[in-house]
Amino acid sequence: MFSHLDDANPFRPDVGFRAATVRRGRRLRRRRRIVAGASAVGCSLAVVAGALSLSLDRQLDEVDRIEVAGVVDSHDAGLNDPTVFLVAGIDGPRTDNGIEIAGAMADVILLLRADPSTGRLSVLSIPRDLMVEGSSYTGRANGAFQEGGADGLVAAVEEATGVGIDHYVEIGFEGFVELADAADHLAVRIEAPLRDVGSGLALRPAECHRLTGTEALALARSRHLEVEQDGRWVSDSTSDLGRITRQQMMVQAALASLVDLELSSEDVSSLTGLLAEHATVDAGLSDAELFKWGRWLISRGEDNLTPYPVPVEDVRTAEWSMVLVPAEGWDQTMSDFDNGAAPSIDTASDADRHVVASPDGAGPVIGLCR
Amino acid sequence: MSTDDFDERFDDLAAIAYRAAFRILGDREEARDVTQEALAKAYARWSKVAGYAEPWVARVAGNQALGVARKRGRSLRSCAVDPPAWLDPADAIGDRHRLAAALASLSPRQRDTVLLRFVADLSEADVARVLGCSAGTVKSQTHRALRRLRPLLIDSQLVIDPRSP
Repeated sequence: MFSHLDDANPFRPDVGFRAATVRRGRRLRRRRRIVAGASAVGCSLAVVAGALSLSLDRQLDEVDRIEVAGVVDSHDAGLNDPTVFLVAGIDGPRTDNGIEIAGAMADVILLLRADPSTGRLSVLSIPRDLMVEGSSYTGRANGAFQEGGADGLVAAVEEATGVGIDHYVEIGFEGFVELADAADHLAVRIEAPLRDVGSGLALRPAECHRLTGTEALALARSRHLEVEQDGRWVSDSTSDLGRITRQQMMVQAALASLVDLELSSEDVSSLTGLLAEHATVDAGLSDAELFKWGRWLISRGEDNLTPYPVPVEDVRTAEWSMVLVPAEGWDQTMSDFDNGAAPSIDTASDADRHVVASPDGAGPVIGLCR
Repeated sequence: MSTDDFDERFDDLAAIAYRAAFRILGDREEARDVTQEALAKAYARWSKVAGYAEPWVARVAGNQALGVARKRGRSLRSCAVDPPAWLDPADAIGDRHRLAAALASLSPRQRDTVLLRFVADLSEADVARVLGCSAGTVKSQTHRALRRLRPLLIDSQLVIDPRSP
């Protein structure tokens, strides 16, 4: 059927290719933690998930797992204890044909605090340009991944926030695009035409526009956003701070859509498959816990989602062109988040909290759907 | 299952992965790299996937090849809807672009189904086994995917016959 696309002289693996493949396979295998007691996992799956299907089990087992220094052993935490996840959106693939890519940055850094006793999900979005000064790394938050991988990022975020991290989840931006497409539920309010010629982004005004994965990624990454005003295109003067605000708004929209999903079992299988393909988690996150937390997350509902504002201010230094540093209220916010207390700092109304002001400050241009 | 079994089946698995990857990419080096990664992943999970390794490897290789193709040509979706004028309908390169772009426009489950049924030439039973669903679901997913794909592939040599075994 597609035979006209076949190689007339197909590749035949030689001894060297075979040996290199096995070496690569052994490295991949070493990354995966072997969960002690396959029968114990089987029992916990049945108890927690109620007869988890074989296909889901298989897919969850395919999620890449890595050892991450600093995250607690999952067996120490009680089933109903609050659990903090660091979710990193990585720009650039983790590996390319078996070679680890240097230079991949953590463009989205989220702390999620899941509290089964109250049913609440707290969200704190760490700006990628936050200056972190720690024992092992000093620089922008997103560079901590570039320097030290998952270990470095976890250490930097813990030092900057004082919040202990229980689990690590990493998703490449390609995965984000596919997940957003598959969920088909990421929606934003657009009040004026937007474009970014460089990235191909073009959005028309809408009360509630469902973003494709490609649009979502282009919007989150846009560095030269323009807004149409009175028939002409005006550059978004909010620049880096605007991009950070946009990313945080989109994370908020993505979580709001995730916690409100109604999924068929087929959808669950598709999304789990995508997760298996694009996510990497710490080795302490078993199949059972992955399933439990995933199901808990998508059953929250938007009313149980609490975003925490992140007080930062923009500074310019001799060495760094633009960085953000903790501003007044930072310590209080981190304490509120860690203890599950409501945010002490006043925020705008739910619908207007994450918006990007138009260039002349006339009003919000993009935000959450009302 | 021991990895001796992996060694014995290596050449067949490599052939399956390479064919799927080459049909999408048309580049020997890229297809070889995809083949190696797919087989390495199979090795890492051999005890789990050995029972259905052929369709599993085809799926991983096909999806990986699509990922490579996506990185090459930015907006595959827009290519499917509005193909550039330079795509020669009679050209295999053009067919590959159309195929990758058309597959990119499907939902993940539909894409897997088409990849495995028609790019990797697997049976409905094999596809059902690796996707963990029934043959009936494979049939219905195939039907929906083809309804979507046909208009996108109309100017190509890519003729998909759903009756293929």
